[in-house]
Amino acid sequence: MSNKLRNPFSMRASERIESDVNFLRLYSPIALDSLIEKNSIDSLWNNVVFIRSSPGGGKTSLLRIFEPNSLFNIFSRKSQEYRELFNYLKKLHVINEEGIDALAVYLSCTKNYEILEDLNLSDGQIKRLFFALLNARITLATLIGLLELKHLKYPDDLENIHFIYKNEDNYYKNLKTPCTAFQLHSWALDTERKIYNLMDSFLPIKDSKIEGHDELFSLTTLSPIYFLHKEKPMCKKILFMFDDVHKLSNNQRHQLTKYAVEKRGNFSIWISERTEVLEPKENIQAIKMRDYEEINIEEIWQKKPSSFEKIISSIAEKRAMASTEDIDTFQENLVDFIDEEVYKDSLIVFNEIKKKELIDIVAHFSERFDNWILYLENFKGGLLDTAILIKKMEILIHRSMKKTQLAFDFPLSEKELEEKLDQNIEEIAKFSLFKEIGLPTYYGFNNLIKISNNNIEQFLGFASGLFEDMLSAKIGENNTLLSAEIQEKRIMKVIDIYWNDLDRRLPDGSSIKNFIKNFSDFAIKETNKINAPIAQGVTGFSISQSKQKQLFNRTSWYNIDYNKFLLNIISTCVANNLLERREIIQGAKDQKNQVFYLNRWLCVKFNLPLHYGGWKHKNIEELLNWIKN
Amino acid sequence: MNNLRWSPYVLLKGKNKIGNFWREHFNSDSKILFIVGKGFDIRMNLGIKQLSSINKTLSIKCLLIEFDEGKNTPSNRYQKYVTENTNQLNDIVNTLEIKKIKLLKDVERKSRRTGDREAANIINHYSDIQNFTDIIVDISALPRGVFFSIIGKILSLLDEYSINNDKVSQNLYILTAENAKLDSNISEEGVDEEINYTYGFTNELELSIKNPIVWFPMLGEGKYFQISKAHARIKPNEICPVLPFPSKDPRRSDKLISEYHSLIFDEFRVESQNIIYAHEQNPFEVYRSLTLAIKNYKQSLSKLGGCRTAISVFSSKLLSIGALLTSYEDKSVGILNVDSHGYEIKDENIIDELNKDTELFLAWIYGDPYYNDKIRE
Repeated sequence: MSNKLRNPFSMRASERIESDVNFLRLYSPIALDSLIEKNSIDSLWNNVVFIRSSPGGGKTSLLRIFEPNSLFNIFSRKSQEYRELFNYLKKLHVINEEGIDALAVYLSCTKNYEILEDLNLSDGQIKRLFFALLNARITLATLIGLLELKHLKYPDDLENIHFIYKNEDNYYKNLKTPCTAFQLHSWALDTERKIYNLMDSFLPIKDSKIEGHDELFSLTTLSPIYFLHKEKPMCKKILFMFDDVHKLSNNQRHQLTKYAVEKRGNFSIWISERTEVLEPKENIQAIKMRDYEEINIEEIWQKKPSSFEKIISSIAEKRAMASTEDIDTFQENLVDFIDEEVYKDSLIVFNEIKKKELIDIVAHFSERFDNWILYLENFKGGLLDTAILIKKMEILIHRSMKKTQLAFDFPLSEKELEEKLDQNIEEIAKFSLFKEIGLPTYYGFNNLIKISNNNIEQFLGFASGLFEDMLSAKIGENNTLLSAEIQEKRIMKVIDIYWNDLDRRLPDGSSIKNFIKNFSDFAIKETNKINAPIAQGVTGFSISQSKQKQLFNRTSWYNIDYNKFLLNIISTCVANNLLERREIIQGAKDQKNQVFYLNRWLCVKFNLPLHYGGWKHKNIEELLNWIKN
Repeated sequence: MNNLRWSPYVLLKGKNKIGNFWREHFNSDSKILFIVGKGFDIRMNLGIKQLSSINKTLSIKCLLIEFDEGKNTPSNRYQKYVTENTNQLNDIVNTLEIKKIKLLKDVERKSRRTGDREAANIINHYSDIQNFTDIIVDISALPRGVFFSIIGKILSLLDEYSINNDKVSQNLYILTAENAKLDSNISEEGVDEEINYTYGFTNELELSIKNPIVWFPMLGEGKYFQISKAHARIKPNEICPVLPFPSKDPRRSDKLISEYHSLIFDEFRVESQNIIYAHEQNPFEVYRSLTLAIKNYKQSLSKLGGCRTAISVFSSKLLSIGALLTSYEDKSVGILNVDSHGYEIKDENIIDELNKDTELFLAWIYGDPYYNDKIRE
């Protein structure tokens, strides 16, 4: 099977990219920068690091880079293609010119662990079985990892690896150590099988003595110093990577993370999970001091938008190059301009009507706007530029009219107009104009990055459809360029699928949709005000609790039972990347505001601008009303 | 392939044939346990109506399984049909026992599917069924997760009894009212976020064995999202899509290929020679095709330590029976289905018209035909 694909963007999650070689080719190492930072402050190894994001943020891909097969491929293929990755990993002390230093043991938590909680056993027994199952699976994954790291044969070469741990703590009840890795493997497999039979059998299990464990001892006993192959250690360090920890039951997640945090220092653990597992309160406010290391992938991109742009560009070009269909660039196939000629008639009509309207409006103000109208009459730009100027002037004149009571009716100069026609007003004027006359708004690679909202899978969702359009265009017209109209149409199509999926994807999906829709209705009204009081448009809100605070003696709104459902709705939105939380310093005494912005794809859905910065305070009562139909 | 447990098999199609068989088979000594699901589907009572019509004096105990799909399920919209069906059932049978189960369990902010485990516990011990000569499970109005567990549990109890006592105790049948057009008028709404192998049919699939997983998704219409979810959960090394052919609509397979072309060939990168065709109306043929394909894979991959197999059903209930039998017989085969939060009827006005084409199928899966060498009690 060829390593190339027809539409490489359709391979979303890293789990779907079967071949390690393909995965490494498509991966952009920029995502490892956050780990480099942790390493530079000496908090990456012998520590517990939580890696969090909403679904599709890139957690599993990040972990997959460290898996033995990936490292083996990077080490053995020292071609230029892998050099960048190699250098990153070298900085992390995972690999060096002589060999691979770290064994990363990957353990997915998707495997039915929750079912243990349904067994008719005491809490203590269930916890012991949970730890026993984890110990068995960590052991099996470690042994298989060691073989892969050294390219040894499974299972035969397990006989040639020696596990020299002396069992002084009497952790292993049914295994005599030191022993071969093969014996350790058999012990673990037997433990796993027995527990599974207990969980899956229709009939009661007879005569089965299942070994339960009080501790997650495998994290300690599976140390590099205890594994010898040909009398030599096999690696310098072992890293345990637990993926999808949010899929454990709340009890189990708590037990695992508590154990790991309490015993940290003796081993390296990365715990990857969705932000949805955090307590609702943690999702709606910035937590200042956590007693563990955390990498929140989306927050990192939020703070460094240029890095996200860089990674998306890199992913786009790598994927396009991996296509079998000779479309070797993605970015350049997305045109980022409007063909004025197509909209000539609409622009002529708009310019004529709006100019008349402006003249009529200013007629009420004697000479106040005469110089501005003269400026417009003398403007020599094209149709689109003229239309934008008219829109800007409309906004400025309405803003000025609002202040007329305070100002004398002196004529305003052209210079004053030119000063006001700055970049700040350009974007909202253009946005309003395009919406008003039906021009496409959401097109071009830069907008695509914005709509991806710091989420790689979200980008791939749009890019996959756009690439499909490029493939079709190539067949039909032998031209892979996508016009602004085609791009917007495709983006809307993908967004409709996302929107319709919310009902089935999320708990309380219909309430969440109500909440978002009602907020969007409010945001549209604010954004489309003729004087555009908020130049960026309104796409966010912050929660003011003044009324309730008075009632409930200054208790925070999220601590009031009555607001629990609202808290859950907002928390679920944040965890699933429908709302993006940003801390904005504004107001009296540099007040910190937690602002919740709509994910940019929702801005597209509801015809809102893609800029940040525009938000309004809303009180709890209004938010509660948004949940209702 | 003569060592297949269900070869030869007994499958009856159509009201008349099934009615004639029951007329001949049942007598005054027969004690029948009829298990049926409480739902809005118009087909819910077709089987029991047919059975009770052949002989009014038959001893029939009806076990009605009432399943709670959660307070927000879209199925709640059809409560009037549920009530109509239940009233009708009350008129048909004399002895009715109701067992309630919850399909979902809410723990803190998470909702977890536990209905399969609860369903299996409806029949707890062999003593619960020992007084019946014949057990009929009508799956027409039962969700997949529920009937897989119930049938698996009853089969396990019967097999255990047979092994321990060297004699066959009872007959077990699966009854379903099949109608592809009615099925397509009902769509699934809300797919589970967390999906797991069906209770009792996980087999070796969750063990950390280092051998490849071959996945057999049995394709049906409008299941793109479900198929994607199952794929992400199973992470198969090889995929063999199963398409319905022969089928009533001879172009159905082509339409399915067209519907899932991008998913199967671009995303999953399936080789076209991996496609398997299975009879749309014969679950035993499905069982045979799957078992044969699995056996071939195991042989081919024996140098790699064999393989494990997962089956997912995105198609009709009739074909589900084939998957159930395959996984029950071969403990290396797991079943992973994607359940929904409820159902929506697309057009309620055409139900009666569509129902005219409904066909009854009876699959006899345990008892007299299969145990010539054992003493029948």
